[in-house]
Amino acid sequence: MSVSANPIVETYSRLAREYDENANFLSCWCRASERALSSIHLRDDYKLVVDMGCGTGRAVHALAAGAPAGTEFIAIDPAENMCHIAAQKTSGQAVQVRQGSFEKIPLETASVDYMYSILAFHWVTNLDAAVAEIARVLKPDAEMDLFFIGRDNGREFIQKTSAIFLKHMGPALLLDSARLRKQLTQEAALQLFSRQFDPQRLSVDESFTTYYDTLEGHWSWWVRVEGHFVKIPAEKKAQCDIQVRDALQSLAGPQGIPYTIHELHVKLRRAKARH
Amino acid sequence: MTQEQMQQLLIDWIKTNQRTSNPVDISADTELLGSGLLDSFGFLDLIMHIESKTGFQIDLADADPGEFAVVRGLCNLALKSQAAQPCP
Repeated sequence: MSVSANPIVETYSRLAREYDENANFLSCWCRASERALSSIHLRDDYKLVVDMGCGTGRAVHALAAGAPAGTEFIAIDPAENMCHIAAQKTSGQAVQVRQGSFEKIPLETASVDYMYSILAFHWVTNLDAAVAEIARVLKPDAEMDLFFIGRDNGREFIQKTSAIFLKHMGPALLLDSARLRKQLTQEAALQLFSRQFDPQRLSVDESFTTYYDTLEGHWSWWVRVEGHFVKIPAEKKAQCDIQVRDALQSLAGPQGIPYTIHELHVKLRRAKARH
Repeated sequence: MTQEQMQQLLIDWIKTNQRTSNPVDISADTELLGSGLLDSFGFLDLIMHIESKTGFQIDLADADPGEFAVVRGLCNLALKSQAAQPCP
């Protein structure tokens, strides 16, 4: 699937301004992103750092601001309008923004010291091609942190809303929509990356974190999944939205409406020195 | 494949791969999506499983949502697809 033909990429590009609004960034996804970002520590000897799926550039902007002198950053995203915003945000910093995807990374072979990606890898269209491309651009001793959602993400919402989406989308469209995301188990992720990287340098952590919010709070991040629903006819979409909102509201408890993020964290570290 | 065999193929797979930890008695009338037994990824895997076991593709283009999410209905859809395709 080409970048331009991908409904997820097209929707992210179309809604780039909305994505960068505060409501989205106060949501559970922002909290998960911030948690991932805070776990990233740049070594002094990283010359080239790459952010894959940089979105509007919030993470690369923050990391570049505190990076050791001489560290260069390249931020990559498939959505053209996301790239424009990221370029504006990082203007004046040692950051280049390029349009590209995990399956086609616009970088030279063996050029990257450190790659990170926050909540983007699950959108790849071809898992094996994406991991092979990552392996191509990393230097032999490069390091990497990829954070992305796992197989059991958002269980509460999925159980409440799947039947509604089935009614409005029909079986074929519902399954096409599911195919747009690659949500792996921890074991499947380890197997996938082990095909390209030394398993001794690789690890995959997983976490389940439940975030509580109001209906409007959760609805503010719906922009992130709109790409799944572009084929629902407009007259059905409005009705579908009403029923989905009612279903989500029915999950409300004393702490709010729960949403559990199942996160996978693929880490690649340098080989330990042998003595 | 007969209706009985198809139903058993589905039920066996669902028992092994269901997404809920609560024990559920799965029959031909069991609803799979709203009950939480399967999610959309589960349906993708189940359909791949049926297709790999039978050698034919399941056509969902005109499938009725209510029929699709019930064991008997999905079984009927698979059998309809089987009847519509030439023997391999």
